[in-house]
Amino acid sequence: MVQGVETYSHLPGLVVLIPIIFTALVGIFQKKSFLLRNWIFISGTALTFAVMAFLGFFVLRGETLVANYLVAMYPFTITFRVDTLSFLIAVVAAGVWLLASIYCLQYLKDDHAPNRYFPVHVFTLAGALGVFLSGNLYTFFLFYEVMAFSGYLFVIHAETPEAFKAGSRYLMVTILSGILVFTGVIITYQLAGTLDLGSLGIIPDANIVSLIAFVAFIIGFGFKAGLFPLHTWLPAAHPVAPSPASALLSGILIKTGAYGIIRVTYNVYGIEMMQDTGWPTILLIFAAITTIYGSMAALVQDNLKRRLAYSSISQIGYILMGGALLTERGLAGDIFHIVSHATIKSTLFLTAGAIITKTGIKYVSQMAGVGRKMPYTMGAFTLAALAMIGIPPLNGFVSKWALALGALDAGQPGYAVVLLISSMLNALYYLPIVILAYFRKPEEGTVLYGDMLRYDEVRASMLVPILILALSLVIFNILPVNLPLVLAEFSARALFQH
Amino acid sequence: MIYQLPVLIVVQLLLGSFIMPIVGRFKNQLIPYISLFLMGLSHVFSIILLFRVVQEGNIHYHLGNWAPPWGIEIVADLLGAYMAVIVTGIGFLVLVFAWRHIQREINYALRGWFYTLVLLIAGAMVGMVITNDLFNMYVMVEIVSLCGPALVAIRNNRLAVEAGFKYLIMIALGSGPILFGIALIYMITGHLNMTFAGQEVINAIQEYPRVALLAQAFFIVGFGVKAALFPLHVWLPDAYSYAPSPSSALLAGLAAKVYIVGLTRVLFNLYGIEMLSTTPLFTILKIMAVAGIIMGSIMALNQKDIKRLVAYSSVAQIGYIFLGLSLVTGFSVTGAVLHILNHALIKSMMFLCCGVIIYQKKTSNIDELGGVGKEFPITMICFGIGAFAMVGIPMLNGFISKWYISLGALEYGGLAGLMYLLVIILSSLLNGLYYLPVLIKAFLGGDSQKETQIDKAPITLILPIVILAAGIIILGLLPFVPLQIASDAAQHLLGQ
Amino acid sequence: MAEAIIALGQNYFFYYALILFMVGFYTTLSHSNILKKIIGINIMETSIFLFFVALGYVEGGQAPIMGRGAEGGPYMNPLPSALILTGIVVSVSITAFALALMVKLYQFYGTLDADEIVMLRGERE
Repeated sequence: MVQGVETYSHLPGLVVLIPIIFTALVGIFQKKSFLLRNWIFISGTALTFAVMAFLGFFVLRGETLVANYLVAMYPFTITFRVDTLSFLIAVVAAGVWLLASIYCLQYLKDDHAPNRYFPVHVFTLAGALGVFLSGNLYTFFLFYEVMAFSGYLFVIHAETPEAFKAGSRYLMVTILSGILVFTGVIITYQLAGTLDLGSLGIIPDANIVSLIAFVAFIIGFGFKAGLFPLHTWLPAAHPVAPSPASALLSGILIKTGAYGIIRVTYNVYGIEMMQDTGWPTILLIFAAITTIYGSMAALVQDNLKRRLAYSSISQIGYILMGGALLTERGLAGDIFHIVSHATIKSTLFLTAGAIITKTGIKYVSQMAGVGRKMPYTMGAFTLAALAMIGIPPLNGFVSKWALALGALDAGQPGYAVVLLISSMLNALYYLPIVILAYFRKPEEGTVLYGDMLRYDEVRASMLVPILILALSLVIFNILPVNLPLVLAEFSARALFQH
Repeated sequence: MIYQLPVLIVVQLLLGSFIMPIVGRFKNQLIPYISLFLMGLSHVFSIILLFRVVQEGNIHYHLGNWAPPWGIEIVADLLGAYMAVIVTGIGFLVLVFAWRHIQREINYALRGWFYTLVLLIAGAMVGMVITNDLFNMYVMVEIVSLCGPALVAIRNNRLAVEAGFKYLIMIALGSGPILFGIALIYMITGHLNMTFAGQEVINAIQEYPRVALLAQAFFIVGFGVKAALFPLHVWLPDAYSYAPSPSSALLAGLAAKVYIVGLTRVLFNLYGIEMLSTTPLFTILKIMAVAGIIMGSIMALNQKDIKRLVAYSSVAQIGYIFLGLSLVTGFSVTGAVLHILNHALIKSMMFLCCGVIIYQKKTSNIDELGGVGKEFPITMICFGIGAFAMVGIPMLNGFISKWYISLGALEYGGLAGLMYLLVIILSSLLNGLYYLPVLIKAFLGGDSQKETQIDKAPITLILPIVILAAGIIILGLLPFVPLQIASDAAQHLLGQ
Repeated sequence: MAEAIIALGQNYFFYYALILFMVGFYTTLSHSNILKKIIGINIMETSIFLFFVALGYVEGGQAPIMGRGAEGGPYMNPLPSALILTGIVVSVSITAFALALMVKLYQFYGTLDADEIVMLRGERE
């Protein structure tokens, strides 16, 4: 592929604009008719995904799409930049969003506040895509804040006291994250004179001020991503949200934090400065701690969604480790893991939601026999669990392999060991669920006792997205060309060029 | 005609206010229309003035055709014209707000006086910012100072009268020092015209350094009391919370700012930056500003009454403006001047929103305002926009001014600069901490089964709020024009 | 040292003005009776007027009136006097307004003592 030819195009702006317009449409029409709302809802997310995928044609040819708006307001211009990295993450985000949207229709059929949920669902998509496709730090910050605040509405949706408590914590984290990122952005502007994310290092030299900015960025993004010890909001927030929203929160929204760290490390500070100063080492250490901590905490959780939330924390640790290792293969694995974890975690949360809807079961200990009752759902869950552990030929394996190689490249074999330990812990907390679901008979007094154990799957509108997601875990790795992996490697290479 | 615009604006507003009682005697119902007309006309004139000043530079006008330094000179420069536009614009919107519904908060019989006061205070505010003569400025300052407490006490209940009285005493305590400062300046320079005095004071300061310093101190105390600079702000919370909402909007958004502009004129135009840098003036101002920001935000956290919360928040925001001015770098002064506009928009709008809600719910206690967002969605959404603008969300105007002041702090450099940045960041955090719970309670509290309705408030109340909110968003996305003006005004002030 | 005493002797009115200013300021702040506060403000403003007018004194000057036969010779500075007239008007307005508010306060609270008013206000709020 040809290296970055920049083409001016309004398509990126269109991709972000479409969900915004559809939010308004959903808001206007939702009072009139449910059916109309559903159609608008799905077509909005589908259209976004379609345009996003269309951008792939350009990206695969090696073009980088750039769009600038409000240039006269420098430095407050809204710039979009679709390079390989942005495209990869954004298209996966759009795809997962679409599948979650289809899932929503059934899941939220009897919800108490659908008129709030549906517009927020579409609007947050605009926010997330804006973050991923942003071309300068101002645009990034803008959409980052927008997305974070609309994510709040996901968290408190249930309106229970715990939802509100989780919501206040989320809000606190959002504000803190926002002001820290603001600090980083403004110091960057002061030092670099520009906010553009298109180059490989705009900070002129490494002094105490740029260190402060770097730390501010790491802590700010770390809050959002769930880096230890800034993760405490996550296990509270993800479970209380409705399951499709949890899938989006865990799968996509926390990735914005990781994406921010990658962009800051490679596009703002640049590889050389990072290697010279060794600042990412702090990040590396905390990422490793996060990985182990997340897995260990997941072991003791009985609430299924909480276990999945801690698992997300652990996986973010992987992702941040890969970015902080400063090697090309590590970064490739890192990017690929962003994508694969998005799909894996979404599958897991959507299946958890399906189980809750059908059986009301929230706790792992009560999950005996679920596999008999809902074999397809559990099948998807199993596949995703295996992917998370890292069994070939699933995508989880590919990313862990690349990450481990990256650790070895960086001369830090210790981190490869951390990866291994964590994988084992993953097995320890995922496999029992699978075993319990398929191979144990439900006891007396549990939900599924007796003739509750009949086959009774969720409806197709919920099942199909789950199955498609599960399929995606396998299919790319079987095909001759593993498209996401190739794109990930290409993005990594692009960020490593001097 | 253009050359007479500055005076025309002031004169027509003052004359208008004088004839209001007469009109009230004969044709009571005409009062709002005449006021709206005059204020609107003034606004149009100020915009024309601003354009002219941007294109051609300062406009000088000699009152009575007596040349300075014997006559009173009116100079409409960028800062002055900019302030005039802001004052008349927000004044107009407040009058629209007050048009049909002022009787909610004020005795109907007193409404004629309300319009008188509003026109008077607007005229005096414009007069204050465009004059180049110290004593003329003093007179205008006094007019504004008198109208302020009157606008508070016009509510005629026990709390408002007490708050108004306290305001009056504090203001009078501020007038004394200002007059003394002017007297001292006159004594050492022999001029009352700011430009001439500015030239003279360079010589004078060699001979009478302490007198010049004393005058500076008097000016800061005097203007500081009126502008609610910490720790001289104590009258503000009571005054703004107990006044009727249109008054609060006017006072919070405009009155405090014009005093800051007055102080700026005296300090920067008269004394000049180089001279001031040799004194500890700016350091003191910085410390007071920082204290105001922190203390204002902290006090706001404890408030249960929504208007008091917004009032304390004003103290913090005025601290920002002072911080921007006293950091004396290009970016920070630009940010401060821009924030004058931004904060005027935001605060006025928030007080107007409070007015709508308090009247309907009969309470201003935050805890009892749960679910109000469902009954007044448009109003609360605008309030939310204002709150987010204060926190500093991009795309809203608060972000732009915060950006420039922060940049100014960094430009100031060194450890101190980073500390000021930290203060600004912290205050954003605190802003979020006290505004967001209000919003959450408004939209998600209360009876959750209630569906969102069309806003119950009448259109003349909603329209100004929405226009201001639209202004906030537009200025956040396209800040080009105010930014340019603020930047140029900053350059002038810094003497470049 | 000697110069200081001489200066003191020549500029005595400055010191009177300053003392009056302090007296006025102190009165306003320390007394709790509202009427006294208002009087304190008056004293303060008066002291400034004194100061300003005294600035206009020119040694051996005549009253600044252009009359028949009056030519050269030093005149007193008319500017401060003119300005102070305006200042007095301002001061009178403030006093009048303050007194009106004081009457209202008495109507509402039944007392003219500032401390009691604060207490009463806090009670019934």
